[in-house]
Amino acid sequence: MSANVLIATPPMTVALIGNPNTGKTTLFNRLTGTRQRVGNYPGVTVARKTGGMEIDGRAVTVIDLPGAYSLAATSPDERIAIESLQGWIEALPDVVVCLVDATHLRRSLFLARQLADLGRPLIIALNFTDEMRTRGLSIDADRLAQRLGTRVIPIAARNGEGIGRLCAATSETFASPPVSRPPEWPVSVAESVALLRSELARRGGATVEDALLRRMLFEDDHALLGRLGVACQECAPLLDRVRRPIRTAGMHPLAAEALVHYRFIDSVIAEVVSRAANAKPGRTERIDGVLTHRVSGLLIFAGLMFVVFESIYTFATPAMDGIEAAAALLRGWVRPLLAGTPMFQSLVCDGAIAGAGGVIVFLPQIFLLFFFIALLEDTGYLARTAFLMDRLFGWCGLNGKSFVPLLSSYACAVPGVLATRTIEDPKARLLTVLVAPLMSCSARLPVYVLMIGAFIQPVYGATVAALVLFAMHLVGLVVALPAAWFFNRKVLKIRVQPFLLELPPYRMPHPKDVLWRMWEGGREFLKRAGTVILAMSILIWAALYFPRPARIVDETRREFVAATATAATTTPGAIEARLAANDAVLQAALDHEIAANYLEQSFLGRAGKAVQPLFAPAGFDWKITVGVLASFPAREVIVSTLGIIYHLGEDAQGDSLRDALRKAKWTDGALAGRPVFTLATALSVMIFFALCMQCGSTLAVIARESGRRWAVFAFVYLTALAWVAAVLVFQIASRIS
Amino acid sequence: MNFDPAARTVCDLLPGEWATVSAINHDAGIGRRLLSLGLMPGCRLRLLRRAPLGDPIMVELPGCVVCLRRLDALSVSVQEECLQTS
Ligand SMILES: Nc1nc2c(ncn2[C@@H]2O[C@H](COP(=O)(O)OP(=O)(O)O)[C@@H](O)[C@H]2O)c(=O)[nH]1
Repeated sequence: MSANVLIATPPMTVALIGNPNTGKTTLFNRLTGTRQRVGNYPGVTVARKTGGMEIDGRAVTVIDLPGAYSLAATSPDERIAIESLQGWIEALPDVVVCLVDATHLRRSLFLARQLADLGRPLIIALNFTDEMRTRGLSIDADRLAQRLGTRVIPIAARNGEGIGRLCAATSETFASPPVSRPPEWPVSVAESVALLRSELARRGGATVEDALLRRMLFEDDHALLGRLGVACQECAPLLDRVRRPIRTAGMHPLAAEALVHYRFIDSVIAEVVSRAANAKPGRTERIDGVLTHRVSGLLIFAGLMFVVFESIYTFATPAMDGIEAAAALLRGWVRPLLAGTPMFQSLVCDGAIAGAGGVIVFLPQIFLLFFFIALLEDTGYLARTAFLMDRLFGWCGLNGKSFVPLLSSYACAVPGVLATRTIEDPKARLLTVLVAPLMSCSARLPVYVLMIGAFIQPVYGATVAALVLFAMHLVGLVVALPAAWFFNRKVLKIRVQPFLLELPPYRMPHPKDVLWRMWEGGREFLKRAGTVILAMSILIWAALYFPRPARIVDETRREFVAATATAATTTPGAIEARLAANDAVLQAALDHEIAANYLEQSFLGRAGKAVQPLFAPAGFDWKITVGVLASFPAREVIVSTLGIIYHLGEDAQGDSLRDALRKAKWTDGALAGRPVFTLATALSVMIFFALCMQCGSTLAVIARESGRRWAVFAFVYLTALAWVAAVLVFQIASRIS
Repeated sequence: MNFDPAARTVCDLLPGEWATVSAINHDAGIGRRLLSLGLMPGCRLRLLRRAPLGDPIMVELPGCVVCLRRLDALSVSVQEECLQTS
């Protein structure tokens, strides 16, 4: 592209804004297709999506602002919206497109009126016109445009209707912004604005537009005043003084804006909306009669959750097995290729491929999880689950919206923590983040299966085994609620926020959007978890690999030959001869022995031995302790680490590991000769893994979403909790049995 | 038109009952949020149902349906409508 073309069509920035559920995501995807970037707003953890598109050869950046009901910020999402529109967070958008839900015109126009007051070039995209028609409503868009003084473009984002016209209107507005017609404010408001202006001028602050002064008048949020350099403790008395005219006129200052806007909106609606005589009464109300009924509603809810849960575990299994098999194949294929450089071979096979495989193996579950969440959300059911569950979660400081993040955490805490972004109340959000790692994620399943398979099923039968497995999944939730209650009372000192949730009408979800959300969820997980787990696996690999003194090979060989010879009542020479003749069985046994001894001598192995006394009250020997230490970055490595420690080679994980655990004996101390694993040990290991914070990616995500301080807090409290619980379980269970 | 905490509130309505908002406590956070949804004195609303455990409640406002906790709903006082049902 030559320079003068660039000058002829300068790029343009368009901001999309609208109430939640007005189809903003749908429109954004239609406009930008796959050319999107998801990031974060600088300094805060609200998802920030931008995308590129082209209108008549002009490069257009589309910014998707968070959904907001009002510019009076009550959630971090809403604060971002206003700050972006002021150009504080990013470049001032050239055109603002406000999405308005044609079927909820009254409520949607409020935000549109606030935007009109800001005086930026504005277009109203009147969405859901398809649904409006089927409901027998019609809106006179031209008349609406006249009354509002902005362009109004009817669209149906889901099937792409009117998008072309919307783009054209955006171009036109950019080229020649219409003269905006701001709302007419009562005299009392104007007086208050003037007072505020002079107060600020007296302080020598920068001059500010009237619209911004009005935002300060109508809100209790002092952040705006703070930005103009007014000290915190001065804000309240200052606002009180300048709001006097509004109060004298008989209005509550915080209500004045809504009163003025809604008076106007109601008059506009009376003029532009007409309702066909045969308009159908709500389908939504009838469905709600069943789905939120106190009996049928709860039954259907339980049934649905069971299906979601069951599918995440069962449907994903073939794919997960496939991925594991593929990783093993790849390792088997790569290993001989790198035989010349043993360290590099081990790094690639045991560090990188195993680590990456350990992340990708969860992808099928994450996809299924996001599929269901998108499906439930797009139908409108998710809001109902919050309605049904709020009481259960409310008493401990969480709220109904905590339900989805906690449910997601049963697959993996990473998407669970990310899903807490939908919770407006900062306190409930933080509490949810803190307890989400307690939900029994699928990475814990292998530990449960191993322990139950080895120590419970053979003794107590399949029924008890299934019950224990179920109980293990419940433990986290049972601990989470009191934990949240405790943090709510003792640790967090944040004001309780009101819980207001809009229940959208039931809608048929659009397959393309559901699949897109599923894809996005999976991609985000890979990006977040992938990098951390991969890095961690390589670190752990190094801690298990080094220092690797060369003498171990010879020493082990000598001991091995001697021991085998004694066992088989032959001479060491005969054993040496068989080894020299490449006896495969003998060689494999020796290799396992060497691997185990390397591991015992590795940094992590020594650390395990050193730390073991700490875990002794929970019944862990040094081998379990090494396994526990190794699984702090990612708990799923416990099984393969135990495999290595128990001389099995890392690929033998099934029955042979089970047997090895059963045969394991204490080698020293008072218990020497007694089995390490009893029922009590098995239970205490399971409890420890159920409660402990052994997941580097979750920690990283918590640090990003809530700050490093809370990540440290979560790590410390969960690890301490796990230790205490494991010790209690072990001590009690070993007394009883 | 000041808010009277002793007045009848949304919580006292029967499921399905319509009422007119007589006052909203703007000093409570919930009052402001309801206001931005367009709920103000004079508006009609209807209690649709209570959640299985009695809390929260589902309320139909002009143009949308919301879920409120009882504690928050105490900020909205109403006047019953004598003859109307629907
Ligand atoms: N009938 C209809 N449904 C739509 C339209 N636009 C979006 N939807 C649906 O409305 C729901 C909410 O849309 P979404 O884009 O997630 O809204 P957001 O919360 O504003 O991002 C989804 O189920 C969409 O499929 C439309 O023009 N017509």
